[in-house]
Amino acid sequence: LGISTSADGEGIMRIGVDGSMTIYDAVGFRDELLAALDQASEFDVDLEQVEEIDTAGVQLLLMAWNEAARTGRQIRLVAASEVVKEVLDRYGLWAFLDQSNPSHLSSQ
Amino acid sequence: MSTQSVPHTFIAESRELLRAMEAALLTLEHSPGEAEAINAVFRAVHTIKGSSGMYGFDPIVEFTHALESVMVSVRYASVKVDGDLIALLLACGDQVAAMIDCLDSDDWSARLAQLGAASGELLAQLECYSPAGDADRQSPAPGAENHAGSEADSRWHISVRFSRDVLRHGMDPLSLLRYLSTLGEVAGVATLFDAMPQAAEMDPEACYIGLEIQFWGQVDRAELEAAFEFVRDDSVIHILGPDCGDADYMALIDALPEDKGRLTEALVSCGAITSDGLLDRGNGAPDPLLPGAALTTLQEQTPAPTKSEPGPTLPEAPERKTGDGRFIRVDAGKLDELINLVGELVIASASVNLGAKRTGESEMLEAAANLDRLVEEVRDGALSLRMVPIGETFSRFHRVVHDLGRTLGKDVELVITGAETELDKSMVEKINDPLIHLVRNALDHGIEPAERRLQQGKPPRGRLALNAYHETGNIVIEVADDGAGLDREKILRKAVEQGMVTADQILSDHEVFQLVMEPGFSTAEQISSVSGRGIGMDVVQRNIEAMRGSVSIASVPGKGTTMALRVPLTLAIIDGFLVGVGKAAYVVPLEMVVECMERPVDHPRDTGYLNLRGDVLPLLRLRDVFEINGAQARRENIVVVQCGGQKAGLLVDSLMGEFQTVIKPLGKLFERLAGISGSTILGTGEVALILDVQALVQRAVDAEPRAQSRHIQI
Repeated sequence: LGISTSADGEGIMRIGVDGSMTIYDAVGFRDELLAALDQASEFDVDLEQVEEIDTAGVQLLLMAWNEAARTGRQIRLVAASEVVKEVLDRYGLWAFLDQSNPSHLSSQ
Repeated sequence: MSTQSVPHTFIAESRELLRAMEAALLTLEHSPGEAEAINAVFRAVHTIKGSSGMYGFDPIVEFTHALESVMVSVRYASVKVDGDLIALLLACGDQVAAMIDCLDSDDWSARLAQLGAASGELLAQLECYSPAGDADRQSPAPGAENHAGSEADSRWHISVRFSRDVLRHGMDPLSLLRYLSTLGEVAGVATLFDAMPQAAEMDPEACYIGLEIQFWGQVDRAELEAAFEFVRDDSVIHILGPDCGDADYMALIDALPEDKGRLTEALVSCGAITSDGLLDRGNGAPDPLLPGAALTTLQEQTPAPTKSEPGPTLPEAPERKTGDGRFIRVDAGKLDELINLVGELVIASASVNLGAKRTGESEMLEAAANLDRLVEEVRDGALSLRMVPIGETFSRFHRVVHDLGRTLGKDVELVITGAETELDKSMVEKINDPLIHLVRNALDHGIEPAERRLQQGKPPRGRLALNAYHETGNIVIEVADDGAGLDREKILRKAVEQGMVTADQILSDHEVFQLVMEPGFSTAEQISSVSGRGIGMDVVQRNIEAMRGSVSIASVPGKGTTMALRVPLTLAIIDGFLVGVGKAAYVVPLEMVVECMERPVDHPRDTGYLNLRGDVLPLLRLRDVFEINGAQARRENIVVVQCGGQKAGLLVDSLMGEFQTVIKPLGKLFERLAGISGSTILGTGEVALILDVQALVQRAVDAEPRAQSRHIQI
């Protein structure tokens, strides 16, 4: 699992995740995610490079979204791999993660 | 994780699990749908994965994870069990075993890395079965309408609040959803995660989610309940059937932990009810994938207690079998040490006994007798600690038979009886190789190909039976096949060709069959990769003889062959019967002694036979056998011994009574000494040799014709 952050000129931080978002990496992933959330007020999350995701990984996304909402930050899902799409489909979570974004990401 | 301290319990447990997994896989081979076997495989893989994760053996975790995913698919019937899959899973089991074996050494991480290539190959094969591999096929067609409207389908609502631990236990709710979509149509899912605390307090490995699922399918309640079998321990599950009305949904909302408004929303979003709180009776379940159909609000909520509330909850999972607590694991080395000590104790006690007898004091004698009895009990107790049922050894042969059967293209059923028969652990290890050899022989040469079996009116499926039972201090292990049987004529012809016997010798069936165990003997026209009958049979014989055992063969042409291994239960200690010849003392294993008597006065001194109440037995003079010089005793005694159904008499000078004996193995130099199987130390400190009755009886039987003819000449 790798997580990378980069900020663009307009103050939106991009969080890219690659590898697997599973229970095996969950603790480290949570810490990195929270650390990243401290650094800006607007985020684009890119899950294009995620190869594997399980329920623990999904929960961490939910956590990040919750945390952003609680602290008044903006967070968006901007890209997702097929694997991620399949899982989010199954959980019916698109609407929640994708609130401010058109549904272009959905596997439909 | 330091390299030194790979926990041995982990290794031992994993090996045990792998054996269980192998057994379960072989069960699956014949009854592919058997849920208990599937679960057993799953449990084994899952537990090994979990423990390996704890110790940081990442390659094992990675491998077992893939294996587990496949098993989940098998569990949820999206992958069909067939011969190829079982062969693959067996190979994977071996791979895990190989990885576990690596952990035994200090440089395990390097050795694990070496296995990487083989793992990769297997992983690639597993990929074809894993759910990710066919995710496309399985991903739900969200156009649920066409399915939801179908007449035969019934509508269910499933509400689950998972226990915090399900993820840690290796169950992912995702796999449940995947499974449900194979049973019917998952028309809508709403995921609730109100129970999730704020980021700082959240445990990333705990499961906080709950699901509200609208499901259409031709299923009954039991099927749905079975789907949740693995998670139902602590999870709260409600299943509302097709017959449930508004009131039931309202009751469900009341029973669930979340806020009412929130639940209503969730139920609306998954299509269970309409926004006015009534059951959604329309066919068109809303598409869960369209934004707006799922949950849109997000409010801070105090997580309500997740305690189970009244409602149609699943019955409690049946109590797990307890029994683990009744056993403790002990290092085999410690047991060996104990048995060694007990052996010394037995010798010491014998010497105390002797001393007591010399003093002639009754108190001393009584104390010594008491000690003797207790030592005997301690000895039996200590030995029984090391006794293990042979069943475990036997059950490994399921795999051998399975693999060999595949290689040879023969379908063979393995029948095991007497699995509970116990023998010493040290013997189990030694018996394994000879057994494998016999089983291979039986499969390769004994059991005929299916066509030939059919021609002969036999069922096409061959039958191999492993049986064990106790017989006078020995354990007898039989390997029986229902194949062609040994070809007496062919064996004889080969034996004559190889100069083992002459053509005019008259041999009994038993003697002919025994020839196949002579070194270098083989009748196989083609030596296959598996075995050439005969090659190695002499090795079997030698191994078995080395543990004071014997091999016998019975065979009926066209009906099959039975090979019987007869070995003592333990190599450590025996009850002996002490006899004297000249100044030397010998020990006969007590269980082989039938009776003792004085040599009848009218019995001629030089005959090689004995007339025992009408039975003629071969008689062996130990004085001659061991070439003991010195004056002939005036009175001689006969010990009648029995071994493998054959009786014989041993002519000795004196009978010295029963004697508990610790067997000290003979040194390398004397290992192959005929007629002697070991030595022991008497209470006086003198050495007594333990007689190899098996060999002596054989010798007496062989000598019989000669002795008789000599007698007749006289």
